[in-house]
Amino acid sequence: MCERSLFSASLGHQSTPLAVTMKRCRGGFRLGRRLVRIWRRVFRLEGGYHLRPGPAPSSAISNARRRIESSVVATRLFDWGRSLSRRLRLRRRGEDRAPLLEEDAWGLPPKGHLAVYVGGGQPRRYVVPVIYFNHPLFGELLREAEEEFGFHHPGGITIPCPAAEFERVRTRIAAAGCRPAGRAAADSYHSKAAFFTLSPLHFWCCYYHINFMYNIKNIISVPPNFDNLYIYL
Amino acid sequence: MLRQLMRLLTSLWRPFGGRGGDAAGGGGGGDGVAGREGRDGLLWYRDLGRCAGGEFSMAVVQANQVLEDQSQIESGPFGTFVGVYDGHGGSDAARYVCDHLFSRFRGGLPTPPLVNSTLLLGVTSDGIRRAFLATEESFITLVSQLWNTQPDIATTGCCCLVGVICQRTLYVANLGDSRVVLGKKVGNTGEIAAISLSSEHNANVEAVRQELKAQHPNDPEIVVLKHGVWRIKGIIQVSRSIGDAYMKYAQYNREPINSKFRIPEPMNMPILTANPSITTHHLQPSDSFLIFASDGLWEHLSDQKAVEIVHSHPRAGSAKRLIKAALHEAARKREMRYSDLKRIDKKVRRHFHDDVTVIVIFLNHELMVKGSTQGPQLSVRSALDH
Repeated sequence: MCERSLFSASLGHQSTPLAVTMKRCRGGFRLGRRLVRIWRRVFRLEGGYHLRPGPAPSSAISNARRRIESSVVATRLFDWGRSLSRRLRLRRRGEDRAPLLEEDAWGLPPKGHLAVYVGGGQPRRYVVPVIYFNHPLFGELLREAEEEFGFHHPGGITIPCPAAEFERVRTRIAAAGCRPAGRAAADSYHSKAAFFTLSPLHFWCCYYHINFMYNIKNIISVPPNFDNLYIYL
Repeated sequence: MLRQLMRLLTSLWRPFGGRGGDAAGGGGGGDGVAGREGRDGLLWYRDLGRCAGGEFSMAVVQANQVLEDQSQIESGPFGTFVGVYDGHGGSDAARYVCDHLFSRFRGGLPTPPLVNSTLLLGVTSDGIRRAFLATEESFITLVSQLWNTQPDIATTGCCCLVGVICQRTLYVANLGDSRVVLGKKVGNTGEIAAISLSSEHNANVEAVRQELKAQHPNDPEIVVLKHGVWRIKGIIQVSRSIGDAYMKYAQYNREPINSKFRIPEPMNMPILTANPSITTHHLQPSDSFLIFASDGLWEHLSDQKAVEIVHSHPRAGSAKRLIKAALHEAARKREMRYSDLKRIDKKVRRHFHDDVTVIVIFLNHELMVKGSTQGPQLSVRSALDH
């Protein structure tokens, strides 16, 4: 990625501790701890500007160091965002497992989905888009469920067919392009994932851009007439 | 000036309200209150309207491919007639009852009275019973006429719940498993108590099973537990209904009706009857409202929960609110969200909930005492399909 090489040139290609942590950490995506770590790093930088009282440092060397440190954080954020989107792409293939946007505190599946129990004996739990229920193929499965259990069985919808048959029907419905119109359930789920990926990146990019432009005044001498111009850059 | 501004803003907010005329209202100019009527997918509602006994709120949600619930409110010199008809096996019986029961009831009343008293108004328990039996008889006649061309009509039936408010007396006639609940204010506490005014004819009630076993001592399989619920002969849950000719007359329990309705043993006497349970209740000033609903509501909401919902919210939209609460509960039981439940089509919806009809009558005791001859003439009927 060209942005990365730009940063690497200024850094002398340091391996980012955050990226290493991401690689090491398997089978669990602890959002909270990473955000705290990033926030702490940011505050350490920010402390140099705002939290410590006294005059703002004016030396070019300390400014350059701050620019380097801010670019390190930006790199780490970029890595985190990319790995998150990679994980979501992989997760999309395994739809029957609980999605990355986990069930909420009430144990409900994500919006646009519901839980279906398939098979006799120990039924297996699947999370299926609601829109599948309106498909004729799914209607056949539901007819079998009605004959077996009636309409008023307790708990979630239970279908007595074998799991293989259910998965075959589900694949056929998905292949037929059974997507809800307009703001689709599955699409909204993925767009929400994209939102989580891009939005902090956008925020921090804007933040550092503003910070950079604020401090550029101290690095280069801005003519008095253009004093307010930097705001618009 | 501020008042004029507020009036302008209100009229912009509700451009069609305030006039009380709507398609379903029909009857006369008496209904002056703005009855907001609307539709939200498979849910139809009428937020508020005026009847002889006070005000009403009505709502219906469809779950079956063809709506099997019908309902009506009729208001006249006799008072208010409320009917909730929960059909099963098809919509024919419920539509027939909705078309004919009230006219048979009104035909049994004497000519308009000269003096305003309950006796001269002519509403009696016997009159209501005669109306039920006459409707049943004419429906069976229809079944016999259509037996050759439309044999499926022999397997349709309808549970009927009728309430007649005449002056300060409430007559409740029940045939089936619909229920009417009275919301009664408790002293000065501001709380509301739920009192069920009808008894259900459902095989899941122990008393009903005992009664059936006593009537059919030689039949060990008169009630069978199937799919976790008690059913008569393993087929139907209700023990009394209008229609269901296949359970009453042997000549309709043979080919070509569907095999799932066939009974192997010969039928010596009718298994189901059409004799309603009629109770009379003298309305007190603390009696606040009545909730008439089919079993689709009571499956998900308890009596107390329903009266608390009506009591703690404005009158307008009470019936719609009750149905939404029931659907929320149905969605919760199926591990899904209410907003997702709304996206499921009819017929498939049947796996989540049944057709639900709710009519809430808010009692106005002064209006009842004053006399219903001056009250508005009203005839409201639910749609045939949504």
